[in-house]
Amino acid sequence: MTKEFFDAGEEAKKKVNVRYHKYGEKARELSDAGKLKLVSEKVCQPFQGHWFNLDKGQVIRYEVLDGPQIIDTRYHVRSRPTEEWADTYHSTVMGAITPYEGMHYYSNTPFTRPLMTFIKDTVDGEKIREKHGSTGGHSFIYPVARCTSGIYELAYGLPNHNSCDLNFKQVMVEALGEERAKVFHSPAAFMHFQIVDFDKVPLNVTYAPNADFIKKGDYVELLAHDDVYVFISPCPLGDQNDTSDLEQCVNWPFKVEIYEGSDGPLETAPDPKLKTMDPFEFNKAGRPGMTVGKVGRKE
Amino acid sequence: MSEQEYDLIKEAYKKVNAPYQKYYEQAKAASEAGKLKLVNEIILEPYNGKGFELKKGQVVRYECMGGPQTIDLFYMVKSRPMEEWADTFHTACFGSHMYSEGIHFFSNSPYCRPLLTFIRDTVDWEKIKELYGERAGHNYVLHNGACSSAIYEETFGTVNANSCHFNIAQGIMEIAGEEVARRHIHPAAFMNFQIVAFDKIPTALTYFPGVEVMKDGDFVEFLVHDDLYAAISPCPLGDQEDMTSIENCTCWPVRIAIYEGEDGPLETAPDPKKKSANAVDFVKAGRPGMVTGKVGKKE
Repeated sequence: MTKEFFDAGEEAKKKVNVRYHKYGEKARELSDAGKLKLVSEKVCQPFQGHWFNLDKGQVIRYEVLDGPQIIDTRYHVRSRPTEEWADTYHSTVMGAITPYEGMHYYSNTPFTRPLMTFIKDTVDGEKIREKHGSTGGHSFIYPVARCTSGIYELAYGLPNHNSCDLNFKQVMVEALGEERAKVFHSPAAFMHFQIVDFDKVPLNVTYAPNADFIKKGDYVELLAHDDVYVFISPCPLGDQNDTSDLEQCVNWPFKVEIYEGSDGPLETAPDPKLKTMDPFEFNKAGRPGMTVGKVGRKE
Repeated sequence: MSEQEYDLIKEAYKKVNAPYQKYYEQAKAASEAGKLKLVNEIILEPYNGKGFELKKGQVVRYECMGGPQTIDLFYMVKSRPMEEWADTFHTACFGSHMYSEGIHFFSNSPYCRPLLTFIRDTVDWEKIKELYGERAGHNYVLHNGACSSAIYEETFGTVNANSCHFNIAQGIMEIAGEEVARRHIHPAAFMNFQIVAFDKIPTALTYFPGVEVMKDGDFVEFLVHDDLYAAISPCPLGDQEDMTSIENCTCWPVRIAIYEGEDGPLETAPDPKKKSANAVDFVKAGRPGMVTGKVGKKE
């Protein structure tokens, strides 16, 4: 039996997230009431990356068209795109590896503030859990995740297969320029419309077919708390109905829509303006005022 | 998942790992038979990162001294530290989020080869599972993960608390210089001696106390497949016995011991020399010969 202990992760979630919930709840209410105004829309094609400027207080919707296309998404703050982005580590610690309505996407250190809030999801989560159990979902995060051409070559023997890594690099070159795209590590992505089950022991994911769970017109919506670049890759696994051969994977166009409130941008979470320093500068400065715990003594 | 559905992760795991199994078995056998020769040792003190070199064919051992100290590690290829490193995405895909003996740490795309193999672990896994459930372990990867000072500030209100992010940056700066450290803005680390379980619904982590499970002298060992730079951080959560505040966490030293075989370096995995191109160069070249699947057609 588990002994009594302080559940640091759970306590952190309770303490931190509560500060930001109201912004997501308000946006959700407006979306449910049909009070969001369409600002722009675009149909995106498979096998290439796509990028958008999303302004603070806007809502982005990803919508399934004729087939359930997996998408990988990333969010970078426009004023400092290679310094601050939606970070899957902080988001997971404060949420889960299967994102859900109400979860915030926090940015990386030292900023660590909500950049996006996941406000709405029309995919039938109950149906997914009925088949795949409580660890099933269609939105998820994986360590440094976005598929790569390297992994497809290793697993299938196909060099230079289309991959989310390639598609992200493409949009980074377009949006940020080649130099920054080359030297900047691609952060992990947030996935939607990909049926997964974290059912393996030791823990790993199982990718399951999308066909029975995601239908035409399904969408997810997220509220932006700052001006961000949105980078999107349609994953070449497509609808994941048959992944036994990469060339058989069926891919589909999908729609991206951007909304505002009827009177303009929605209310967003304030920047907590944390005081923690950039790690390189802090180390170089000799770690002034660093807080530590206790050193154990061998008995 | 039904029996008819193709389990991509399971199939890839079987196919990709098989050629590398023998290097694991050989190194483990040499270690268990006491046929490894100590060539270097370092004592890692709490609250400080450390950078050190590992040579191809060596074995590195991390050993608890006095109490169970969580460690976070990041490995880069010495000849190209800004381009190739042990990657948690590829490693998790071909292994698990909770890794155990026999799992390989694969490098990033386009290289995708084993850089290290986890050959030995003396921690009592049965006891971990007995106390904390089937989904618990002490070696794991999280998402772009390594604790950060900003998340401690958000959670505990403590500015510039010691963190793995600070310490790994310090370790990389020490062994590979500031330029390389800045390239790896927030490296996704590999953790050892940290009792966790992905047991929450939606799937998320619980951090458990370590003292009851891990004992003085427990160790983990890895075979090194190329010349590497390693950066290590003793996590300020320490033994995780009391995480009510950063100041209450108890931290312990860790011994790093580097071994070779009796007659020199051990046999290592060959470089599979993948043909997939660097993502940015491939995009710039117009994606020559890119392989894709099919585009779906509306019925």
